[in-house]
Amino acid sequence: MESDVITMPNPEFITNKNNGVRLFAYASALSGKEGGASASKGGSGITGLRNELEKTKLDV
Amino acid sequence: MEFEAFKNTIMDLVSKEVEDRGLEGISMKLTTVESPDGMTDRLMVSVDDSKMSMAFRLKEIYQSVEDGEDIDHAVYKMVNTIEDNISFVKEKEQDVKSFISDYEKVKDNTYLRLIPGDSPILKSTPHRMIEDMALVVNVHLDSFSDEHGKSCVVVTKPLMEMYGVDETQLFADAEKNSLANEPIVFKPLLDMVKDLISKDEIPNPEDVGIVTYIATNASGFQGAAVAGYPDFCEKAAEAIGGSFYMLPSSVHEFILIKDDGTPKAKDLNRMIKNVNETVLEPRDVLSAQCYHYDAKAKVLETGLNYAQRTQQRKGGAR
Repeated sequence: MESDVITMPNPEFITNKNNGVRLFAYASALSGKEGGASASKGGSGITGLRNELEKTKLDV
Repeated sequence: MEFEAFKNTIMDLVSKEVEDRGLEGISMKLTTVESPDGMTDRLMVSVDDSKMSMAFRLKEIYQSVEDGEDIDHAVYKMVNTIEDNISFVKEKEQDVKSFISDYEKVKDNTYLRLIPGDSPILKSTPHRMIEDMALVVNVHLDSFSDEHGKSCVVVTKPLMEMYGVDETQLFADAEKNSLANEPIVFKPLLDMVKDLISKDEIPNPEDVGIVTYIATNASGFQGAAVAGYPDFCEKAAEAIGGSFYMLPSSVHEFILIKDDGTPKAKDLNRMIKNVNETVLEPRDVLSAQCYHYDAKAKVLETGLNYAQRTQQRKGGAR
């Protein structure tokens, strides 16, 4: 029945579990700690970050 | 294993495990669901004739297996989830239904939520565009949430019509609740990372002269919605001290970078794309480009538009 579809939406379960990791990624990239160049100087600095993040996934 | 083959394999393995554990009344099917973050492949698991089902995101499970998780372990976790939620689905269905279908009960639990502007749900969902992102209204089912996360339902047009309210009222109520219970929080990026990660050395963008703030809400949950609050840009400009770039780091927050006059949009867009692809879960991705707010002209636009506009202005001044 159409009304069942309308009145019974499946709730989504949402988490915010790896915020530390992504903000650390941005902090690294913006400060040029990975890749050796800051965003303002033409580089994203994200290269190699994945390995670094493996050590810091404390909040995952 | 290719994803298409994986979907059938995982359903077969889950079915077998469900049978081995003697769980009764379980049926499952593979389907594609329109979600706020795009079309998502799901394994829908139903209990008896309940209309509420568990919907596993298969791409995330596939990625985890591709990254090295044993497939039997993934199946074990999925069936644990099914087993844990059988009674919940059976017992709470009526509670969810009676709550979500009554606007008098819902109206104090609606909040603004920012999702990607190309989301497939938008064709049937009341929304307001902010550049290439869309502001929608979310119902929080607090009674069905726990310390790990929140249960939510996006208000669709049929649901809004059933409530008997118009779009203006719907957004006004959600804005009122958001402002009262989830006010804007501005915090230096470094302070925020320190709160979240225990690591001795945390890179600080200010060391290279980049002033960065986080803009989110009080709970940090779907906090990117603060961009849709009244006067958000003016308040952000006041906090950071002038014009700024906005990086959609996820649906939960923006990173603000003070505009020091150096063109940045292309580099920032490259950075956002990289972080989106390497760090974020697909469901957390908000956008793949930065935005710029000109505090003097009071204009919010994409970083690329701003770059183009300033380039043209410089060209015209020659």
